[in-house]
Amino acid sequence: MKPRKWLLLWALLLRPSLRRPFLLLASLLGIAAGTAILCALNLANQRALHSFEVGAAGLPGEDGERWVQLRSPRGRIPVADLSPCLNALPRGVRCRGVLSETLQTQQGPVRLLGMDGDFATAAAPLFSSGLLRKAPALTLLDGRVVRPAATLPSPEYLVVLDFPEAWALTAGRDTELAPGYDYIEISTPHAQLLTELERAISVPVRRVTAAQQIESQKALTATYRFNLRVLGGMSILIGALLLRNVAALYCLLKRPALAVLRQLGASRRLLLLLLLTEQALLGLCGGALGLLLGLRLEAAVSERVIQTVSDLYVKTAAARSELPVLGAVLTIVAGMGIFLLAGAQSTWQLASVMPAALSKRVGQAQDTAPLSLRRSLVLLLRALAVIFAAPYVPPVRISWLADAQTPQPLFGYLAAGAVFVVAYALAPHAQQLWARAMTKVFSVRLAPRFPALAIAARRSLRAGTRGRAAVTTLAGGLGLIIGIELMVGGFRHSLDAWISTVFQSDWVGDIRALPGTETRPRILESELHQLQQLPGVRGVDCILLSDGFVVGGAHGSKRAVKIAGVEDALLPERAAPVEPLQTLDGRSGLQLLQLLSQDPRYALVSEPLASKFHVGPGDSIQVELGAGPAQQFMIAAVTREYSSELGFVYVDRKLLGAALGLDGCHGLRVYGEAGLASSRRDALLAAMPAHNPALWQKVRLFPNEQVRKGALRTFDQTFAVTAILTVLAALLGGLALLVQVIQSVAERTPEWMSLRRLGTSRWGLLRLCAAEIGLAVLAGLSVGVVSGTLLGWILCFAINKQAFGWSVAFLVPVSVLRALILTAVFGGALWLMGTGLSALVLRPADRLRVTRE
Amino acid sequence: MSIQVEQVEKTFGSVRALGPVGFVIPQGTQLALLGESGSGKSTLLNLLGCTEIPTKGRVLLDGRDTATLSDSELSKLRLSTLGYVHQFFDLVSDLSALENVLLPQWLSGVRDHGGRAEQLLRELGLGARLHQLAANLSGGEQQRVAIARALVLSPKLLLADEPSGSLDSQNGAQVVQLLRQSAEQLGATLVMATHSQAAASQFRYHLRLRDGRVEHAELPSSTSSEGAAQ
Repeated sequence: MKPRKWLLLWALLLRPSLRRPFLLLASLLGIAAGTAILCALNLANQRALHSFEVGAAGLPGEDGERWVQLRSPRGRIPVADLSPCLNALPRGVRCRGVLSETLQTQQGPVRLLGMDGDFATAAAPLFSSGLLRKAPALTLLDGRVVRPAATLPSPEYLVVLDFPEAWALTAGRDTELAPGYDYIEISTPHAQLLTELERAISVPVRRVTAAQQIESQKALTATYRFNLRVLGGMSILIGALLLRNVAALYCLLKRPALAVLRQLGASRRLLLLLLLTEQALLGLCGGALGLLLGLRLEAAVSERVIQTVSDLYVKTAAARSELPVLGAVLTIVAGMGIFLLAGAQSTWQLASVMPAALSKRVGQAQDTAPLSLRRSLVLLLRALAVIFAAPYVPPVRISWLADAQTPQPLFGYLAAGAVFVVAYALAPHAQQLWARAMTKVFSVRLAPRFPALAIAARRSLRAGTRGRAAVTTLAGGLGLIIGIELMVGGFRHSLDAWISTVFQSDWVGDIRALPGTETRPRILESELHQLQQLPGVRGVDCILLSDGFVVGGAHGSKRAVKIAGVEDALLPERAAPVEPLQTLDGRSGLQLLQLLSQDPRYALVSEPLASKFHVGPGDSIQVELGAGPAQQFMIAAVTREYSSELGFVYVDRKLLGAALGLDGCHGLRVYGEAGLASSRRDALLAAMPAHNPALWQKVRLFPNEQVRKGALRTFDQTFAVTAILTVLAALLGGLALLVQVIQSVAERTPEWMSLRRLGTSRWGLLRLCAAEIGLAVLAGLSVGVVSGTLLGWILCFAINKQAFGWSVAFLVPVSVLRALILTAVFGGALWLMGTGLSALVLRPADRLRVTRE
Repeated sequence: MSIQVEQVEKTFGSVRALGPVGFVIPQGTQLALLGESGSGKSTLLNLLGCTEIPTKGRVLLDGRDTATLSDSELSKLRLSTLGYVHQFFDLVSDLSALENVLLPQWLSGVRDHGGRAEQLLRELGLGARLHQLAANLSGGEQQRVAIARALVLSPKLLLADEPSGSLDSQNGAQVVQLLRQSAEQLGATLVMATHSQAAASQFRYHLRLRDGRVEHAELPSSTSSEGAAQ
């Protein structure tokens, strides 16, 4: 006959678990938190990917491969250029002008396509089926309502309008810009036809297909999106640490019942089956909860991810993501799998001991494995070898992982994982060292005066591997927070240094052309000269912006980059100029700009670009400016410019203008007299529009403070998603604390009862708890600082350097360490509160339950 | 069930807890296992109860060497042929008295819908406490529940480790009597460890341990302990 497994499962495991609501809640939340983050980050990733497709592809339902897009490096294509295209087309070939924008509505942002030409817009507005499910009509911000006349089969939030209407709602709303298309699309084109069409268009254009555009955007953001997945994986790792403790606690609490079962004749197999079934059920419930939480969290995370991608990479819209049923099931299974894996060791240990050993009370000598210094040393040395090798192992490409088509610093991520191995190896030894030191200090002579400290020190000294879990969790969590803060602090320091040198008082502000049609220069040469004549203006730096491609490099391919044509239009009497650019080798930015203007063979590149192409000063690169063939430039210096992951190539403004067929510029940096007071600066800014009202219709003025805030905002957004990890670490730390409290109480209650019967007072017990917790916090903090420093080092010199090409200062943020010590103390106080309260309520008269629990 | 112990030793690390000892207990024997604390009584009972494996030597139960059996075979043996009563009762505190007694039936798959379990508990005077949680019973009541659990599958070998150790003298004497009567009714072999002379005096056969060796044995056969001879 077979044992009645479900009955045993319910009576011995599930029902008692339901009677411990705090532990049950902590485990469910732990599983749910890890699953939710994984779900949210992956969905956000998918959402970003879908956004590229909607932004770059044509109409849903059409064969995207057949359509070629003509895009201009100068920006939009004038609407007047569409007619010649339409006239030149043979029968059967279709052509249309497309505006691709984001439309803000009261129902949220939606993707807007405005179409002209060979597109039947009689049925416009067209709503996608996905949008229709969300809202039967769209209410614009001004209150007007747009209702659909027909639908398109697409899960995205997409609306298609006639071009004039779309332009009026978006780019043309607040300005007097001439309308233009983001691209002109032609179906089934022949090469010769395309060449003819290109000649007919008044601005230089490049050919690209929707698929190439999507792939280019995907490749561009691959590293960022890969990091999102890694973040998801790391959240699992952190969650697994918590869940390991939860599983160990479950095993501890279930030990007496399982001892009885084994005694009575339950086999190991039956025990394992019962334990794993319970854990699987718990994991399924936690995973399901995590899925629900993850779907809610996804909206907030997606918004942040899309915003970061838009700010740093390419403009993209927040398209809707759907989780298929299979994906939902896999997410829940992942949650279950995490819990099972995390608890595997404890479960196996419980099931594999002999029945007689299982009956012995936990805490007896046989349960405490001695620490092996040799084993810890071997583990530590191996982990350190991986960590210190990380900056020198080049990034690798994984062909089967879509996001890793561009090389990723996998060894760096491995090294980050090795940091937790360091914490695991060091934690019990750190506790031993502190305990040994305290045992010596609170010797037999001093023990009567400080009994709590003396007992705590000796108890910790003999804890062996039993003390490992709490200290390792504490060290891991603190280490993660320290590591991230070291990286972020380093960036902030670099940024602060740049801001303090560049954003000086004589930098009055920036004048930037409004984005839109680039059929004529935004700020003409004549307008530039007029500005230079204004009283109080001492100098103007000009910048002309475009998109281009760097050809070749280590990858032998074309890679989209931003091109900046720069010029330092100094007035002769200007003295002691501020450095407009910061270079890695510290050379003068001003002198480098003068070099560019004197010798057009030179260019400057930003550090992200230099890292991706493995180039530096003295190397050559091939750059496509405008629509013509690539030109070769020699790199004069590498600049610290991180506002775009595309990377910047700086060339002389006049050279770029010639390639684009433009003069003038898109932006100016205006300098006043040296040492200008802020009131004088504001007055100068206020006086500018009066001198040329026509100019001010098409530009926007950014005062010094606003530019500075914008730089800091970009910085903050770069690390927005990293902040999620810090919050997660704190959340899981809190849960781990709760579990630790329950475990401490479960283990120590019989001992406390004995102490109370011996005559220890309530406050004496509390002091004992405080001493032990304080020792664990000291050990955790000391290991946390070491592991955090190592993690910060890896993040700065391996992961960020190889993934994004950023050089980050490695600093010790004293304020962060101070905050962390306070956090550790606060956490310890919470631990003490939970444990101490349980100790305080014990009464000496309470009978020891003779079932050995 | 007959028991044969041949040159058995048990060590834990560097500590020898028992042995070498050797003796034979025929089927149906009721034996008191005597000795001070630390003499090896519990270790010997664990070896007889198949919850430990001897470091050296053999323990044969009805001719089967326990050291050669797999974990599942040992588990089956414990379930189907052994009944164990501990000093500290070893009940599951989250289960009721009846559920504790039903545990062996649940493990073996026997479905008598609680008939025998309930009958045993009523015979032991716990009819009114069937559904009380084990943690809420008195010491004597808990020990009777433990006895009922040990008897529910009609074992061939009953092992009791200081069953009266946690009880007052009246309850203790009752428990010992219950065990003896139950063993006699079932025709089972009973081995009871005790350090109480009063409890031991109820048994005809004795085995006294000292420092892990057999100091003195009065057994049904003429076998004397090899340990004592050594």
